[in-house]
Amino acid sequence: MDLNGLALFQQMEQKMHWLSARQTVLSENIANADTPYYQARDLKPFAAEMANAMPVVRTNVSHISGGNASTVPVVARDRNFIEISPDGNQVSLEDQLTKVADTGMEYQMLTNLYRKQLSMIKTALGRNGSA
Amino acid sequence: MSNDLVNSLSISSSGMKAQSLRMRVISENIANANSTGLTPGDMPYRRQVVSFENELDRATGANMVKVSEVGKDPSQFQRRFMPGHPSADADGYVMMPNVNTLIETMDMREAQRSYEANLNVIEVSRMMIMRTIDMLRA
Repeated sequence: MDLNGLALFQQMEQKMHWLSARQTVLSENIANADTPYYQARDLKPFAAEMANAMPVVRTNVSHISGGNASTVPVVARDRNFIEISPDGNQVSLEDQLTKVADTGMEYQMLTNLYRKQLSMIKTALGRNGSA
Repeated sequence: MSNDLVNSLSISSSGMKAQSLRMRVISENIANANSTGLTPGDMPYRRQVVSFENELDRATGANMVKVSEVGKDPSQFQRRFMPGHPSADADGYVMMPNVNTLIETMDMREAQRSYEANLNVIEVSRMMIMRTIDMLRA
């Protein structure tokens, strides 16, 4: 069974993809927390990306399909930085660590949700699914 | 998919590597805080400083960090009055290294803090990877 046919699973997968991409960007920021002139970066919020990823609706079958907009997360400069240290570094460790914890928690929530949804489907399938 | 997470592990470890090199240099500085020259004209130990650099890893496209160079601190040596010292000049002054233990201690704290932050990221990334694997068991 292709779970990705279900919109919910598809969205959860996208969000998980987004979260792991964000984790990479955050770890870059933290690793470079003492690099002079390094500017902190972050991904665009997931909600904004989802809005962009909406496919164009076709009102007539002969129209060209807009196709799915790319769902590759966009990395942008983090403009909400708290302070700039004398060496021009913009990374605030506290801020970044909060984001890391946030990302981890959301990821945990998603994997739990995924398992719950899956076990519900298994329940519907019958005894052999042993939910 | 979890390639991103594995990348984040290697980025954090590059950060930890850079910080531990920094710790090594700091400990060299502190250990040599009193290393003077042997004869009157000799220069004492000169404080070393690390500078970090952002480095793009071409294989993964990740922004790693590395120590670009271990440079010398050009600031002035301290002069201390110790007429009995073998390297004392005609006026009885000895050139002491330009190491300030307080500055080194602060630097050490900063290195420790950055190291811990990187470790924290590794823990969270690891948790995320384990969670993904756990999904197979659902």
